[in-house]
Amino acid sequence: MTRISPGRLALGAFSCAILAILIAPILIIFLVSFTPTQMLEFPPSGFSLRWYEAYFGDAMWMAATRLSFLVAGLTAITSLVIGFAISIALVRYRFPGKTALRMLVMSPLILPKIIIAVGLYFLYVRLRILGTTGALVIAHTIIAVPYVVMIVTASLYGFDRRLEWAARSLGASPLRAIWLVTLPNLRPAILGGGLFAFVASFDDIILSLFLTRLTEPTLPRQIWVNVQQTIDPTIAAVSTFMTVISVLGLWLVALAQRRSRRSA
Amino acid sequence: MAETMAHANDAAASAAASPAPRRLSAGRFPAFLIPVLVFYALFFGYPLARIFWQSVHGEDGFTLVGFEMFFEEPAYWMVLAYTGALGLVTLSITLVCGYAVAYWLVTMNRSWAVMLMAFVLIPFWSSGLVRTYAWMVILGRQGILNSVLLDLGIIDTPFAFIGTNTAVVLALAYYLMPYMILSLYSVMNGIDRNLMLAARSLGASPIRAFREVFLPLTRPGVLAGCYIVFMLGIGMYITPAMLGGPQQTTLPLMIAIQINEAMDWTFAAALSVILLMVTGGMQLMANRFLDFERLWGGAK
Repeated sequence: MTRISPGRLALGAFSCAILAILIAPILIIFLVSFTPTQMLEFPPSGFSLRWYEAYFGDAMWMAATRLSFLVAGLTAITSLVIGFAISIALVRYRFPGKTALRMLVMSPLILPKIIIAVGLYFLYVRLRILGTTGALVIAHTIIAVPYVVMIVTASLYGFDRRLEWAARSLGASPLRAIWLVTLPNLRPAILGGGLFAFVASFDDIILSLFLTRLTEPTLPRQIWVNVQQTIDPTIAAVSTFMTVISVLGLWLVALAQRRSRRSA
Repeated sequence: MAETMAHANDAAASAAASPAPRRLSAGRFPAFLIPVLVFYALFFGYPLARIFWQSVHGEDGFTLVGFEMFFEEPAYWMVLAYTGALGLVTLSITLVCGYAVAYWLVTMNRSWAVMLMAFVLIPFWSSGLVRTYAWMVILGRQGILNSVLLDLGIIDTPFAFIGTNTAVVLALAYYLMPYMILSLYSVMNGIDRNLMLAARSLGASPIRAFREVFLPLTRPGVLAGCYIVFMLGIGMYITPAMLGGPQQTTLPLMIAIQINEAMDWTFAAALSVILLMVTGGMQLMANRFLDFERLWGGAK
């Protein structure tokens, strides 16, 4: 057994405190969502599912939930298609402006989201598509593609292209070779990228705030509206639901990534 | 090596199958990117250009009134200064705390570190809105912190935490901490720790080995973490909106107010241009220090 120095002990105590603070707010929301009382209380005085019933029984909350799932699902598909094309170009082609393309595609990760929201707001008002589902999907695609590109390029670099050439030499067309050989091999990356895009859309609040109608909000926007008005424990139940969806989704991404790395 | 192999295989493939797979050769622009570029031009390039155009156009054509409004009113400069200061304070807190946590995780038993990583990843994966709402529940007038302090008899009346700088800084640092820890952890994880042992065996004290060997090697992680935290920090909208008061107005908040309440597109666009200039300036600085190919997972 090694001796533990006082410095090491202090570092451990400090780090544990930070880690505890990192998880505490999420745990608190989780526990508070089961409170039987009208008020948010911690620790809850009992256990009740009434706020989950309030959430799942409310037409407005359900409409918002459905819209969020629909937009996130569509965003996952569009950003996979666009992100996959960009990834192939970045990994397999050499052309002038490649670095610029990467910067362009990746910049929504860093650019203040409100800038993207304001710019698209101006555009959508002019095109008279503000508040439509498609318009929101497009906006979410812009912010979701970088995640797809990050995951798919990493996986493409690790892909043995000789498999594809073998298919080509056996007479497959380029598209057919990609469809039959490359895509199945990149399944973990595609799954991961799609899930990442889904969660990026599902969790977005700023673009939703600017680009949806108040009468047809996404789930985060509905939370936002309610937070301004009441401290209703229903929000804690909805928040717990949202957290479970996002954490589950991204945990699956991590699993898929680890599996693909092991098999590579 | 890979290139020459590609060419060799190219030749073999084109001999075997027709049509010749010319697209494998380098230097040609991939045609399938054209629709993608059109998409980006319309829904990313145009909106950004539109912001610039709108910032100098009012109802009667060209105008500089948006920028004049900003530069003539010191209260607006204060908003800009507050936004930058908030970014810097958040950056310092996350750097100090994040460095300690990342170092601790990387120097411990690996299976423990993987498990403890859940404490970083679960908040990282949860929605920012939910995590900010959690701080509202904790810091609210009837929130958890107030009820604990009242029960303990430390305060007699609930304290208004919401609407203070402390609340905004705390929640922002909380939101951004996982980004910092993960940036540092990934770089620290790649450092060969035998280097530290070598320094120790050559007579360096643990502190000296850390300062002269480990610390310089973590520089890429520190720079990447600072870059991400600062950029996201100054662009953050929901944290100051939910936990701040009028004193905690940041640039993104002001932009939203101009669009939603004042309906002043010209001023909103001018403020957006100013925010873009700040982030653009930071980006130019970062370009000198950061390896973006690496940061965005491009090169292996």
